[in-house]
This record gives sequence, C-alpha cells and structure tokens, in this order.
Amino acid sequence: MMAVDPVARVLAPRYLAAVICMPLLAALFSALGVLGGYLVGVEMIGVDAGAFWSQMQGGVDWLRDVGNGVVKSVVFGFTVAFVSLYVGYQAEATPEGVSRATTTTVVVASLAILALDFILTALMFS
Amino acid sequence: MNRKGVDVLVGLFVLLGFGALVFLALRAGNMSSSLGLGETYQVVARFDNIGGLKPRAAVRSAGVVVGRVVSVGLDDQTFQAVVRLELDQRYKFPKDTSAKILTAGLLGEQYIGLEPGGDSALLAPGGTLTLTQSAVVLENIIGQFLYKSAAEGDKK
Repeated sequence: MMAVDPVARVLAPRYLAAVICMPLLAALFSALGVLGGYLVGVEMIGVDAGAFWSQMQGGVDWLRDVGNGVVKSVVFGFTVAFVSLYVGYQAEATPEGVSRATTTTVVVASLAILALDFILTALMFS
Repeated sequence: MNRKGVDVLVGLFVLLGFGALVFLALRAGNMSSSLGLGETYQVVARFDNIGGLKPRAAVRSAGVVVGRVVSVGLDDQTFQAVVRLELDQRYKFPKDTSAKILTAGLLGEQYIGLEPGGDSALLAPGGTLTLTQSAVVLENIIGQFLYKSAAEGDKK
C-alpha cells in the first residue's frame, strides 16, 4: 500500500486504542450509573443518602462486580476491534464496499459480544 | 484539530476513567473481597441444618460484622454441615462461644450470629465451635402449624 506498512500504521494503532479505551469507558459508565442512581434515588425520590451509600457499599464487591465488568470490557474491546479491523481491511475499495463492511461489522460484532457475554457471565458468576 | 489539543483531551479522558475506577473502589464498593485489609483466623462450626447460608455471608456478634463464611461443606461421617468461618484477628472469642444461624429481617439473607460464652480460654485458629444452633426451616414450622391446627380441628 504505497510502501506504508498497513498493519503498523493503520491496524495496530486503532486496535490498541480500542483495547485501551474500553476499560476506561466501562469504569466511567459504572461510576456514572452509580451517580445517576444517587441522583434519582436521593435527590429526586428522597432516599436517605447514608442508607444509599451503606447499602451500595454492602452490596457491591469491588473485585467481583466492578473488576469483572472491566475484564468483560477488555474482552469485548478485543472482539469489536478485531472484527471491525478485519472486515474493514478486507472491504472493497468502493462506497458500497465500505457500507457493506460497516453492516457486516455491526452484525458480526453484536452477535460475538452476545455469545461472549453469555460465556463470560457463566465463567465469572457460576 | 491541532495535535496538542487532541493529546490534552485524550489525557483528560484517561484521567477521568481512572478517577471513575477510584471512585467506584472507595465509595461504591468495599475495597477488598473479604473483611478488610486486616488479618483473619479461621474456625470451624458444625450445624445440623444451615438453611440458606452461603459463602461470603456475614458473621456477626452483637450485630457487628466480625467475619465472613469462607466455605460450606458436608461431613459424610456425621452428616453435619461443616462451615468454615474467617474471623477478624482483632476480635477473640471464648472457647464456648455459640453460633446460631439467624435471618436478617424476616425473609432476608442468613448470617451467623456468635454469642460469647464465659470461658476464660480463647478460641484458637483452626478451632471448632461446639455449641451451635441450626437454621429455622420455614417449611417445617408451617408443617407443624398445619398439623397442630388440623389436630385441634379434629378434637372439636
């Protein structure tokens, strides 16, 4: 491809970016979920803030719940990045080829994540 | 977009992600999977029926959590349940402490309640709690109640 190594220049940076971003995003979303629950429960509905945090701390186990979420996000990052990069790399160099590659990526990645989620949950919480 | 601006934003995003992890660890969860970062010692208790007791259930004394249930097994010689408890090193109990399986609330999770006895000798790590009381099985009580009310109905 014009004396530029496609793997090093195109594929690898996107792959690493996806894999590194996923756990950060997962942590961010988990934290925002908790804060959202706090907002609705304590601020809007009137649950006692102390009761909310003590129940939250009693019920959430950091290693098993949050940690497993982050591990899952890394696995999903691997999968999605791999599927999209592979399908994109093999796409035809036409606009239809690009759109077909996009559709294929979405379908295959969604199904792969569904299957992997099932397997990971069974492994982690059995 | 200029390179420097993009890099600053990416750095901020990574910091935000780590900050979220720290928030979750400190505020929204308990930091380690077991009691705390302290030392623990294990003891064993045998019950006739543990009801719904699960590993990682709390062990409380006077309502304060002093340990966790590590594992639950069956002794196939005496057919009793063998429950391994992990207790905080700070709290020592006398040898004749009794263990009861209680329910938090009416139908909540089950936990082990420890009531200290009066012995001056303390429970050693690896020791056994000899005085135990099994869990209350709701179905047995309902059965007894029905049997009793059926018997009274016959008498009249």
